[in-house]
Amino acid sequence: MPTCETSRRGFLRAGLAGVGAAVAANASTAVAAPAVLKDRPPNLLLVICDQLGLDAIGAHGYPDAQTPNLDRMIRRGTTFIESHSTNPVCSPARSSLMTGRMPVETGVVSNGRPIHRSRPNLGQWFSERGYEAVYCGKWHLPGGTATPNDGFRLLPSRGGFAQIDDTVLSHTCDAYIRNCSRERPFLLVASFLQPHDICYYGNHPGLRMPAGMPYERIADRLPQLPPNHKIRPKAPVALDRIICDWYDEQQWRYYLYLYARMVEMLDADVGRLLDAVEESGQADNTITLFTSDHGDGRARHSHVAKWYPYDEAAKVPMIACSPGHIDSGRRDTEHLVSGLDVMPTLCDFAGIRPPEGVRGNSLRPLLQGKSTTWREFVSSEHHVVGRMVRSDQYKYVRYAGDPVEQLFDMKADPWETKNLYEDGRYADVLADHRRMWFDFQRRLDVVEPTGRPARPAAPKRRTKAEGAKT
Amino acid sequence: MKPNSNNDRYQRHPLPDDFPISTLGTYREKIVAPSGAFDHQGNWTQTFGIHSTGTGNSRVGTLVLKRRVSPEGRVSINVHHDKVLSGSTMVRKGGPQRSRRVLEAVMHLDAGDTPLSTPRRWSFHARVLDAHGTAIPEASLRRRAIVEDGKLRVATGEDPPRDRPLTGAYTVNWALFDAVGRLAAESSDPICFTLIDHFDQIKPRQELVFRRAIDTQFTGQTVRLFGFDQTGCGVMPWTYWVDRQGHAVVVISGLETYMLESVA
Repeated sequence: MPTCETSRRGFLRAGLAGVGAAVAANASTAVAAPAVLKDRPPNLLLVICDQLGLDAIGAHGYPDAQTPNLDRMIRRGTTFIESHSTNPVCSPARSSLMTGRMPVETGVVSNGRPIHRSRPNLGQWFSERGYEAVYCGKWHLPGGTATPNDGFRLLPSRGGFAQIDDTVLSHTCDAYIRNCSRERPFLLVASFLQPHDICYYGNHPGLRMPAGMPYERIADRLPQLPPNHKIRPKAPVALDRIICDWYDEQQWRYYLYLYARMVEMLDADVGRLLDAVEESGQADNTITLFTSDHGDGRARHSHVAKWYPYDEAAKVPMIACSPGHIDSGRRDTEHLVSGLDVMPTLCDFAGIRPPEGVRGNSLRPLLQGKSTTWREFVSSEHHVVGRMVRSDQYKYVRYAGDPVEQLFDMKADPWETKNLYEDGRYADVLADHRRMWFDFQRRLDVVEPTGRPARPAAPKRRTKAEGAKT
Repeated sequence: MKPNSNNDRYQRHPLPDDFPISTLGTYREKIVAPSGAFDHQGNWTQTFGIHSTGTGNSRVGTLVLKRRVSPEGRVSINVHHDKVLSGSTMVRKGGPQRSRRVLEAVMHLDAGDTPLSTPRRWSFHARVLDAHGTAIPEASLRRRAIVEDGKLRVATGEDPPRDRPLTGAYTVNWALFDAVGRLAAESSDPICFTLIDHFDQIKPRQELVFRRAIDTQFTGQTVRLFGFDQTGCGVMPWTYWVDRQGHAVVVISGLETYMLESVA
């Protein structure tokens, strides 16, 4: 059988050669002279994707997909391994990315709500401070696409399914990066939908996930199930209700196969943007930040989709690169970072003071190898009443009004299989994390949920199975 | 675990013969089988509706493939790929809120007909049009590409070109709409190749293989279709359902479906 694999090493070599060529070409043009570019604030490219777990990237050890472009970012920049979503649901997490605040502070406690009018978003903040703030792709705060009132100049997109839309989005952003006027620095937010399309498989049994294997050729190439696939630690009721128990093993593995292909599709579209930055001669003055709103269940704890504080949903990539501005090849396994940190980081690189009350920290010192004091824990919200705090070693989950708590030793048990909250040996640890939980809760500057009244409950099993809006 | 009604739903839904047409539900009634003489190796124009077939089915665009054979036997395929977009501030300057993204490409198959309709060079112009058909300059992109000496060289606008290694069999995605009409049915040998997706994204380890023939009904007419599956890196599995004359009548990849609407 003929094989036609592209040599990965050769591909990377060619990519690096391309960068060299782009920089050389840039030096000969007046528009992109590096000396001039360094005298002004950098361009900021924020790439957001939807439902990409932290470890669903090749360079993070994901064996099921090839992600040469995200690997390229990681190799040339810094990646944070302890990176967490503020709420593993689309709209709440996105409200934090846009404001640097926890979802209860933005009013976006569940999907389809607008950001509270008192909380400036990235578009409003940067467009008033000398930047051309441009948005393209999924918004979901509350509508699928942003409106002019959201502070950004908007590039056209569709706001539907990733498979239909993402390549249009990457072409449009690619064109913008190459064609932008360069009179002002840009903040471009490219908000991809993949691999969110997996929701239209996991949530719709009987159609795209039939009982039989659709493609015989891939039957022996399906990804393996994770070691915690069947494990369901004791959990608060709202978490316990979330389970996908209608697949057999082959269907689960087919689900993982499809997810991996979606990750590869995303990677190819991200590659277009990285190429555009490099080929247009703007690499040395563009900060590129890549993250996701939340992850995906990927068969762990019998989960599809998100909505829970387990790592498969709560941990997300946070990757930054920019030659000359950000350390390359750094893998930060020490610092607990969060979607809260996106806005202050972009402000810091731009030389802009962040809005009053922003809760996140700038990642810039960490990205430049400087020592700095850092937070003791990160937090994530769930289903209006639930909260997780994650310290260096432990994860603690508490839902207000539910007697069952969760405590995991993330160093000894990274797959989150043993809930230690009833184990007396961890009484001090539990007390310490309860203190973090309540202290954090007390410090929050909560606003009324925007839009409709908040409903403090997890999605019902039946709702999820029949296709919850995600 | 509690019993779940979805387990029962699965039992009632084994893999149908016409998968993934079966995923279209009643939307499959929109498929029309072409009639009349057709020279697949000659000049033709095929128009496909592009449909989003996720939770709510809708027509989102149009694909027009125009195949031309020169007197010297050289083949070119013109591609017009058009999707409707939602509004934007850039578009609204020009008028109403509906805009379109249009990708127009010309593929030159210098070597003539090859099993995968492999082009040697191509160019494309992707742009966003407002409701009056005026292009938004910042959203326009021109690319040209050539494959030679084991490399794919892609140049965008006036920016420096980028070379990537490319060896072995390859093709671009919409060239396959032409190629599948010539593939031998009933063969279980897969064709392996690298896909240049959307004309610039290299996606290796593709396999295209015959699955099965089915007799199915479209608008009351029984049609024999031959199914070919494509799987590989960076793509949702594609299934091309081809009729006896070589038309790709319906092509489905995940949530995206191409339905043949007219042939000229």
